[in-house]
Amino acid sequence: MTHGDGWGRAVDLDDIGGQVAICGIGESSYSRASGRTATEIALDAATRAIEDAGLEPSDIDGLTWSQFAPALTAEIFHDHFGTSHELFSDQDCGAATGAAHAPYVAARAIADGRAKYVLNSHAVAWATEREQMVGGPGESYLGFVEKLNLELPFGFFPQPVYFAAIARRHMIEFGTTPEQLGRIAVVSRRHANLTPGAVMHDRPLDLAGYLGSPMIADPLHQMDCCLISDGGAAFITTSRDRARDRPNAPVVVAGVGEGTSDYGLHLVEQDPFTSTPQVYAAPAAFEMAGITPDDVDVVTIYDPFTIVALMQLEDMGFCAKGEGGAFVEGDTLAYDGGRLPYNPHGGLLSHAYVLGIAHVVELVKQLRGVAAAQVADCSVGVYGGYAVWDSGTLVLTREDA
Amino acid sequence: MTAGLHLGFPLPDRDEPLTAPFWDAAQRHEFAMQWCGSCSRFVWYPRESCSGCGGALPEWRVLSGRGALFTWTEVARALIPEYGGTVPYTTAIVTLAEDDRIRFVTRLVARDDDPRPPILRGGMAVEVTFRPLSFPPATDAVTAPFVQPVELG
Ligand SMILES: [Zn+2]
Repeated sequence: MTHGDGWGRAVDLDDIGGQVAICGIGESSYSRASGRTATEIALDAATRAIEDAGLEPSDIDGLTWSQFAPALTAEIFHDHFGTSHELFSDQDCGAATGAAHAPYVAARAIADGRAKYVLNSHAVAWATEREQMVGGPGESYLGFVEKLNLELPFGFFPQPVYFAAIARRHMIEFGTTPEQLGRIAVVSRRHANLTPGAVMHDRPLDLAGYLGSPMIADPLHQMDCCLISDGGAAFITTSRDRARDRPNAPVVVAGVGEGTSDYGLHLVEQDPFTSTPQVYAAPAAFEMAGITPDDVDVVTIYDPFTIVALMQLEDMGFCAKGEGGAFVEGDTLAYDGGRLPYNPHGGLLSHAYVLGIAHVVELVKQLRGVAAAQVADCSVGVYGGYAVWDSGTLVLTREDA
Repeated sequence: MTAGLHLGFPLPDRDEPLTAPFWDAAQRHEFAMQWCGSCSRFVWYPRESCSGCGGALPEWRVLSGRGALFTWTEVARALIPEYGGTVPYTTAIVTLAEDDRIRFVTRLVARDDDPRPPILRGGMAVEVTFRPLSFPPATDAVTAPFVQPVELG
């Protein structure tokens, strides 16, 4: 393992820019514990996405999801919709980085005739299941012998502690302040307040309320941490030509980029500690799309903690490294007139913790012009997805952009 | 105890071969890590083979226990029930005097001779101090290498 400038790399991808478009989106309801299963939620979202695209279940000939949350597999699809046709499938998609990867997988399958309409979905019932999980979503880390025996005994677990340590280091290196992290929480909440269906729709939050919210692991307050939710969403990708015949305006997949860290899952080892693999993913996606950060009209960023959003804003090139704190001050991130409208649905912090699938659906709504907190003149949208050891960037544009 | 986890969780599993030498050394008040003779460097986290040269790593070598505070967090809320008798506590990452590329996760505590909560800053000098680790109300304990500030006050 080498240290220094190169601590990760961009994944080598074929140029699929402009080949495919998203022609359908669907969402379940988003809630706290609902008593429903992730599969029931995923089927709700998928059914609505198929309707939104003006298709029948038998038209869907490609299905993608995440192997870590297999709520809607090919077998479940056929069982529910009463179909039996051949389905192209891929299990490295779904949400987080996979929500950026899914349109790429779809484009490759569509290009060589393996599929025409590829449905990607992700759903969780983590609010319902929480009592059975050790450390909530941190449970997956218990499979690592090093974490179990060298981190947990020292109280270094789960994610709020990891990201509090990162936030503190960002403050040490760059002078970032709690108030600056709070700006991200507050703008997210304001956007959720404007979004019917957001879990925190009816719960306003100002900076004083943020600073007064209970400390979880300093410097992270409760309001720096994402919700735990039940919910899911789905989107359907097809060729540009087919997308033009669908009822809703196509949203074009203009670019995809993926970055990976050489340091694997151990956050503690990652060098530099205060960066994400967006450093590698975002430039690749922007190059494929032929855009620069200045061209972006709206961004949705995977935001399990305020600090994760702040780091990605820097790493994607919206501001210089270390200047994220100053960048998010004022109304920079506001949907109505801010320099970089950010998570207009409220994100994982205030909309729902469905791991980024709703971030992509929100971009599609923004580019169709039908979002709740609609950004004016919106023609280029970017999603930044993150999963500790890898990052994905997705650039979406309006058909006429 | 949660199904599937070892007895005493979240104390370390002393029978886990990869990490047992670390904890065995700590019981002797020694702070030890794997040493690769070919690369002349410490290897952390413990591994089956050296990430630098791929060689075997039979040797554990004792370190000075001196280092610098890289980052920390005071955890106010018990994020698993087993931490309930311990919060608030400070968990920290420390870089080591022998190799500042190594980041060691530990707990940070006040000095016995200066029990006031230490004022922390990035990069401050810290040193290992061996303390009993348990998760009340459970009474099982091991000796663990925590860190404390080097300077008084
Ligand atoms: Zn070696």
